[in-house]
Amino acid sequence: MEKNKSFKYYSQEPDSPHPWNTDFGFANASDRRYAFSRQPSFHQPQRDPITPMTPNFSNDCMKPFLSRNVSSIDIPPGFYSYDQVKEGSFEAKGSAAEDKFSVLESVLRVFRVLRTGNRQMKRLLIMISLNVAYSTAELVIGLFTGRIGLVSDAFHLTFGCGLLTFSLFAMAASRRKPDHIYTYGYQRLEELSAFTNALFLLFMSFSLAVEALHAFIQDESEHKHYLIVSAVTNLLVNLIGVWFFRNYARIFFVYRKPEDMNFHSVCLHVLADSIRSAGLILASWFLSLGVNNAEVLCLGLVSGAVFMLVMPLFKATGGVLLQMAPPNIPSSALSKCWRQVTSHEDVIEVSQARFWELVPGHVVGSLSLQVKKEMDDRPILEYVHSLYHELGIHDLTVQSDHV
Amino acid sequence: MEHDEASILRAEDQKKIEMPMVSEGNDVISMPLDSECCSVCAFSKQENATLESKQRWMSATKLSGLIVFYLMVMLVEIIGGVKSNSLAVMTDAAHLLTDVAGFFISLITVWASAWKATSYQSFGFNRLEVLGALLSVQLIWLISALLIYEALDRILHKNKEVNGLLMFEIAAFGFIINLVMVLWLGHDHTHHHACGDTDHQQHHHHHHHHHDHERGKPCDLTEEETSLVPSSPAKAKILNINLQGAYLHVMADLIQSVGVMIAGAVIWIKPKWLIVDLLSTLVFSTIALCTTLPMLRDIFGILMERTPSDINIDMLESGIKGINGVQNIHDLHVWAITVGKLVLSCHVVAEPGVSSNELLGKIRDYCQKTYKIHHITIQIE
Repeated sequence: MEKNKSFKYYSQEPDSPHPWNTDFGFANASDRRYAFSRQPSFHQPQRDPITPMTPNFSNDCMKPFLSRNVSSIDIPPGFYSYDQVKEGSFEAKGSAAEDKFSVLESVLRVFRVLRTGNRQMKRLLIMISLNVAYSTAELVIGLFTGRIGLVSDAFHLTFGCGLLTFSLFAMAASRRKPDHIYTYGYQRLEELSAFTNALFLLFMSFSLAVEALHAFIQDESEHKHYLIVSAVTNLLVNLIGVWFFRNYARIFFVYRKPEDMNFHSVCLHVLADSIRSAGLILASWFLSLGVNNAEVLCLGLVSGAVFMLVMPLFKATGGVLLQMAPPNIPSSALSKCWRQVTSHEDVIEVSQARFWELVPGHVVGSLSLQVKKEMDDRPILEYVHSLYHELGIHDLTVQSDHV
Repeated sequence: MEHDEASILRAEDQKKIEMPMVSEGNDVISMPLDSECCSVCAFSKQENATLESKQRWMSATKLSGLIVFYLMVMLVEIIGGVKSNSLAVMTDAAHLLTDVAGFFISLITVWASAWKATSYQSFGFNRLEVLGALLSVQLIWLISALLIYEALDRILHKNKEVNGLLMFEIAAFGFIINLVMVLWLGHDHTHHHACGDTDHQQHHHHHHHHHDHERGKPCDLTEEETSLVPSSPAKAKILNINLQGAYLHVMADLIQSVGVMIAGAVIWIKPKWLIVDLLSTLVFSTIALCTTLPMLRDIFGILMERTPSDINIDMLESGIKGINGVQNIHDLHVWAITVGKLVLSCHVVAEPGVSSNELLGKIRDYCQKTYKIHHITIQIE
């Protein structure tokens, strides 16, 4: 499939770093509106809608510095340049064979990428190996000494490790270039891993709530005491993890880059784990102090805290996966564009405007126009593309029906 | 197809009526998709809507039937477990509770997929089914993990006397119930037979492959899904992802009951071989998890916006290029909203002097007839 650039208006390669002209990512709503109205090129169409506008890449290059605010990550914007992880992406194999073939290949590729990976990936790798070591040790000790509490904790940790490994794999594998089968590329893997992390955390909070209920009904409070050592170690390991990902340690996060969600979910994962360990330690301490229902209280608190922690991430990730309208672009901006297109003299009607976020920062849209008969398409198409391009929507397919 | 053309005419009439209504200014992009129409759009086809609502109603009834049945069985087991003070029966009842939760999730997503598209959800709520199915499968995994954990627990607390006979009886009861459910659910798969069709050989292969690929078990239900009516395989597929999740739950239960039956029988005969319990749980849990893998692959593909596996994108591309008037095509994307609903978008460079409406119609016909893609957006340059 040739990437014919004949009408790639305002297009960059689909894999180049996205120009950060989305100034709409501010956490503060008023900032967002203010930033939007500052766009100088927004007023241009009223002058002369027919003249095609030249792509101004220089403008785009400046944007990353303008779009910084306190919630931005301290990783330089050009950092996530797409590697030369070139596989034979345009071979047209049968899909079944390619699946089997690509699983093994992707694992090997992942190892290669990990060695040359970026800072976050290396940190994640360190954390995962720590976790794996710790959980196997716990499992072995638990099996030998026959303490079921340790075994259950080890299971829980193993699940968590498995998820973190999936996140790591997603980080590495999502750099691949789009090919025939995955026409939009592999970046969505990050969202999927963020979603699975969020799901796991939700499950964890439910199971903690069930455990609290269980303790409330049955009142067996002894078995927490010998878990202190394991809880403390767990807490330490997870705190190291939180420190690694400290940039993402917020609940309400604005996602600008595709890997944001993944990192955020990893951070929340370790944060929730550390809260859980802290809760267990606290419960033991209270029990030793003689507070009777300490366990129920602490577990209930932890479960509630984890739930509140995870909900925003879950909703955001779910929204991306459900193809909801992009949260970064306010609907007033979209309707403004709609009105502008409709007010163009050759356009009768606009229908089926659908915008969805492939990954945070990459919005895809499709639009259907009813145009007067025998009008030349090209200026209208350019006009529409330019309008939406200012909002940051680069992948737009506009269908014009002549009526 | 005659009725396709008839609906094109009807749709265009609709369009002319809708236009004055729509061009009044509106603040938000709140176009309800079924009143908007550009030539043939499957969101707005009347007949498709009723077909879909019928399928939805059918899957909703099946799921509700499952829920009611399982609730009754659960009640019986709880009563029996409390009376006989057996932990195994209570855990089985808890297991059934998670199954019911899975069915309930599927039911909710079936109901939600009927909602109209809004400005925030411009594609409608069909994707919700996929997420619901993912949740169901996660529940199955969770249950298997819990079972393995319990088996380990039983091994570690070696002082427990395991009653092999009781295990066998409970497992046999569960097995029979699950078998009945499998047959009942599976019975529906054969409904969407239509008489064999000869001029859809090309995508008959695709659909048969996709249908087999999509089922979670080695098929004894290898009926052909060729169809005279083009929407009928889509009908069968749309039915599947919700019921497929429920089906997988029941299958996993069945497989695990078989495992427990075997372990119970062995322990009954030789009461000292307690390790058989753990072994059979491990083995059969892995088998049950393997049956969920094809569905996970499908869900993964849909969520990653991947080209659906029953569409060969090279053939599609060369087919479109082969249409008269198409010079080149780029930016071709085909992806699925949910199983059976495919969306295509592409940029086509047309030869100079070709009428774009005609070209649009031709490409659209081609995609719909050959690949059953109904939501198409084409930019002609």
